[in-house]
Amino acid sequence: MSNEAVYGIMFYLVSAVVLLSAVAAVTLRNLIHAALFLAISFVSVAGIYVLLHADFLAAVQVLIYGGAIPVLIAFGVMLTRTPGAAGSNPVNTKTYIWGLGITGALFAVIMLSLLKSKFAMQGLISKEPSIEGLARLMLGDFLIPFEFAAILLLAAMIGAIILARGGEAK
Amino acid sequence: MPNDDILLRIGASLRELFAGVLPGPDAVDVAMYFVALIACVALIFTNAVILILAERKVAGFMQSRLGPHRLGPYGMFQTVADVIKLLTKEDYRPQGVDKWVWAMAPVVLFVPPVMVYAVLPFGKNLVPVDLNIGIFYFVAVSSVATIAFLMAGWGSNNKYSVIGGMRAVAQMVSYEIPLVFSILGVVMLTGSLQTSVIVEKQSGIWFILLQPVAFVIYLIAAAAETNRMPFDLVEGESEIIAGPFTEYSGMRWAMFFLAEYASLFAVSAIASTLFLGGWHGPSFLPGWVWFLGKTYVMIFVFMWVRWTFPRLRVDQLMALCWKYLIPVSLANILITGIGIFAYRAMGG
Repeated sequence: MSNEAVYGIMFYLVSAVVLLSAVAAVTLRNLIHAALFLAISFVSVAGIYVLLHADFLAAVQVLIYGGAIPVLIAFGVMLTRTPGAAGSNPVNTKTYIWGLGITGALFAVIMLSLLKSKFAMQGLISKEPSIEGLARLMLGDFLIPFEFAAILLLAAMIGAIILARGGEAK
Repeated sequence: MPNDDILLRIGASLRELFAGVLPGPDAVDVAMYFVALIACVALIFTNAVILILAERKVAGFMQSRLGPHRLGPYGMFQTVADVIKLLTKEDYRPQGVDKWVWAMAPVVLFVPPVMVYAVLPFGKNLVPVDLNIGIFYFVAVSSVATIAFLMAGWGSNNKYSVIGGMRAVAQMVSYEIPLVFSILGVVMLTGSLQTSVIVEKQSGIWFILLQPVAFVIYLIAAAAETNRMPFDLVEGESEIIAGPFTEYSGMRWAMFFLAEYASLFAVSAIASTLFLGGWHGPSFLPGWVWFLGKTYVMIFVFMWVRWTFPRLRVDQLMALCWKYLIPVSLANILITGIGIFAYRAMGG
């Protein structure tokens, strides 16, 4: 078996896991289960990054989308809903036409932009360590936008702390 | 003699053996990865048995009692008996649990520590997978353990478990930050995330001497990340029974402890990689013996801390992390940066 064949098999396996768990995340009635399947989907995307030799991106994907985001979602569900896991999914049947319209429009926009743009399929995978190039871009060429993003995040964090603290008792 | 390392010789002869049977060098590489995986899992299992006995012996020593002493010389077979007992117990599933989430949680919890072993530099040329981003990989993979605690806490459908799961998440997410910041100090000194390079650069001086503050922060944050005393609020048996573990029994329950000891070994090994010079040591012993020796010293330190300090309260835990550890670790990064700059300016 050649290396390309192994690569292809791995790619389709990982893609199947990504897509199937994404479908499960959308269709499952239990929100916690949906969040966990979303986590599986996110972490499997890291597998595709590994296949593309983007090792740093894969690790970031696992760190953020494996460790932080699902926990945030699960916390959101747990804090807003009653403990019964079965009754945790609100289904609104009255406005599903609106929902269908909005989702359809979003889907159309994404598909249009996907079909319009040209993707370079060849010569993108480099065996060089990706972290050095990333560091040069982030802390060199794009230093100012990078620092702006940092300040934005800091402001958001301080805002969250103030909101969580609540007003002073009068 | 480092070149006559017995493990390297075993590896080389295995490689020759595979080369005779398998087609192509890639297949041999894959086979060698499987050998490394099996070796790591074997290490985890035997190590857990040894560490549980060691923990009980150390605890006994520190509390002026004997610890286990009935079975075998010095109670050496006590853990083996315990494992057999746990294996033969009924696999009991409480009625109200969320079946799949509850059943998968111990398995998911066990995955990150096993994956961390891939980048541990056991010796020169003895890294299972010498990743370019080794240390960052360790950070990324071990963050996934959080979700396993959440699964166990939620899936058990028990209020104590949910409280424990929430504590676990709050604690592990918070203490990840000082852990990463303390590692950053060492990464700044070496300019590499590769574990083998980090050890290589310590041939002259161990980084514990250059980064003592980072070492202490790493110790505290790692103890919190592995949920060990004085940060075992997740279990907190006097408050919330056993936290996320409450509804588990038999081998599923044992999986939690297996995972705890696996990650205890992993964080200790990372500590000896980052701060204690890894495989470096006088050459009358092979490198991996030095590495394991330093790791076990670190494990003893963790046990020592565990049986010395009382458990923190939740608010104290958060205050320690956000008000002390994070500012100190940020200052450490700043001072390290200034130090490196000054060293370069002096023409070092």
